Amino acid sequence: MMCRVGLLLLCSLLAACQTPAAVQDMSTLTAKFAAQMDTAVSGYVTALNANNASDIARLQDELADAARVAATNADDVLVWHLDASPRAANVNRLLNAVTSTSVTDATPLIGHAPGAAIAATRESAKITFDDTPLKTIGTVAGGIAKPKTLSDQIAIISTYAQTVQSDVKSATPSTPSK
Amino acid sequence: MIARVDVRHRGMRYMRFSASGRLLSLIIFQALLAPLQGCASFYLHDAATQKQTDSAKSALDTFKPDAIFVAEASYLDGLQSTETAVVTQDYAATRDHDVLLALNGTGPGGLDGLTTLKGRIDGYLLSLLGATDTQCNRKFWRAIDIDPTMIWGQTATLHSFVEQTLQHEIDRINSSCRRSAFPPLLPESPSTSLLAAENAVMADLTHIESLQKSAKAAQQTLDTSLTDIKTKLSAGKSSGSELNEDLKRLQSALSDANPLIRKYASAKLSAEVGATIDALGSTGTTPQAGPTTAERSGIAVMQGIFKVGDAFASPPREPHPNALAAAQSWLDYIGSQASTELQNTQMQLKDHQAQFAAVLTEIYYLSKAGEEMQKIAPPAEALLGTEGLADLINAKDESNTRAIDGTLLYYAAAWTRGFALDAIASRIGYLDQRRAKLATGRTAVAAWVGSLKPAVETLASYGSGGFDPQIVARLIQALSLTGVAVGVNK
Repeated sequence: MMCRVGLLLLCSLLAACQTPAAVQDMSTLTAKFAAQMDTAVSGYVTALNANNASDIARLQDELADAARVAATNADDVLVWHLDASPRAANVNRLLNAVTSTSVTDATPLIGHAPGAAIAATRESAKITFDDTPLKTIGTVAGGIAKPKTLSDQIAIISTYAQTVQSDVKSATPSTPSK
Repeated sequence: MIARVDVRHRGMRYMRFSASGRLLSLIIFQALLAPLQGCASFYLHDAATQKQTDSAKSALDTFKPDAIFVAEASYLDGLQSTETAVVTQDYAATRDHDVLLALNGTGPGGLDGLTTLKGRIDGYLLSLLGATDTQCNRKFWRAIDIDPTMIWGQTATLHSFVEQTLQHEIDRINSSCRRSAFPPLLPESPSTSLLAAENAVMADLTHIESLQKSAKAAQQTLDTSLTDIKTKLSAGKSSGSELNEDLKRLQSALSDANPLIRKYASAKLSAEVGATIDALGSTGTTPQAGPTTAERSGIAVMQGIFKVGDAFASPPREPHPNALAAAQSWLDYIGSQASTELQNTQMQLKDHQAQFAAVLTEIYYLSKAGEEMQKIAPPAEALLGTEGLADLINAKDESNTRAIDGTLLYYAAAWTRGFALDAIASRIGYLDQRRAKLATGRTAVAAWVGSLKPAVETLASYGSGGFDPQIVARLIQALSLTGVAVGVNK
């Protein structure tokens, strides 16, 4: 009788150390979901950074082209500025008028891009993504989803038994001192 | 005989434990059989597992993917300023180059400045409109001197202006004025013609009008379906198969290509599920009097769309509160994505309208420049490639100087306020598309986190739960005391 009870007790404890099937299923899905999310967000951030880096290169090229044309313009303008004839005075007046009626360009006919634009094209915005939390979640969920081995179960029973023993000891009323 | 004695003997021993012993055995067996029978709620508490699940929960609390989207949104705002500055610089340099070519000529053996400018103005107008007015008394600038906001809001007014009023003017100029000797010249700006710019706006307007029209019809159908569900459920005789068609209609509306329909359907269904959550939450369970029609229709929605719960069972089988909350969160996500798509459509229209206005401005100033150019006195001798408008400026003839000033200032304005703004609007349109994708990604990631949260919290509950050792200790103590009591009473 006692042997049978003992065997049943052992089987029960081993079974009770095993993660319930529903929790295992959910953990599997959670681990998979966390991994998928990690891959998707990491890929997304990589693509964002690549795209942002290409912005900088594109704008630098465009700015370099504009600077080349503006430099040629500046040479021509300089010739007119050096000319002291009445005709040159009219041309310079006209060129100044073109500049003053321009709405948004800060430095036309000079050959230099605005400092802010140049500075902005030198900055590379790096977006970062810390996937440690997702990896932690994935690892924990993956661990719970994995069926426990016999040694795992025995370790849990052992810890559990020790805790019970300690709790029983602490709950036992002490003998009053004489 | 011996066997019978043994049996009897064992039976007598069993009989000796009869009262408390059998009860104790029963309790132990019940407790031990529970996990073997697969009772999911009975498992041993494991401190190590709790530590892990707690760490997963803490990890989720520190997971802030929104920072990615905040950083990128800020980057795009900065990029817009940079793009504007760079485009302005680029177009200003090209404009100034053209102005200097007009003043100086293109160089030895090339075209003189006046011919170069005529070729530019005629060439751009020919590309943008298919006609030029530089040799005509009729002028395009008079025909397009209007507020574009008055015509670009509806397909009918836009069509009427571009393809009737303006086309009529083009036809009249082409039939009554001298044709240009210069070939069409494609502008460097993104809009190659007024018709192309108009088509972009027209396509957006047609799309929006079509969405609104089809959504109106679909909304009526969805309302009818929901009313049908409620009517049939309130009659209390309906079965799942009777509501299948209505439920299928609601489900397909959630994946409709039209964002207005998706938004409407998700809001309606979310309200139904919300009403069920409120109704079930207020009592904890369906009242004994039976569920209301609102609750049952919410359950029917859950059953039809998410395959959870049963509105037709008696009493109805309620979905788990987590399932209801997850379903509502998913419906809200569909609604947010649809809203983002609608905002993107509106933003695209706004960007195309800005480009359309920029093209009208180009035409206006090119036409004005052409009009002033007609006033420039022709040179006595043909100009060389090294000569231009600067050589025609005559201090003694102010009217000629004013005509040259006017021509070049209007031509410069066509660049500054037309071509450059078309390019800037096009860049902003490109950035707006990136912003729209960013908003879609942001909503999707928020929904992912929203889905991950309940799973991690469930894992944390599992980790902190289990059969507590303290409970076992108390049970053992209680059993020991029972044993002692049995001994005493024996």
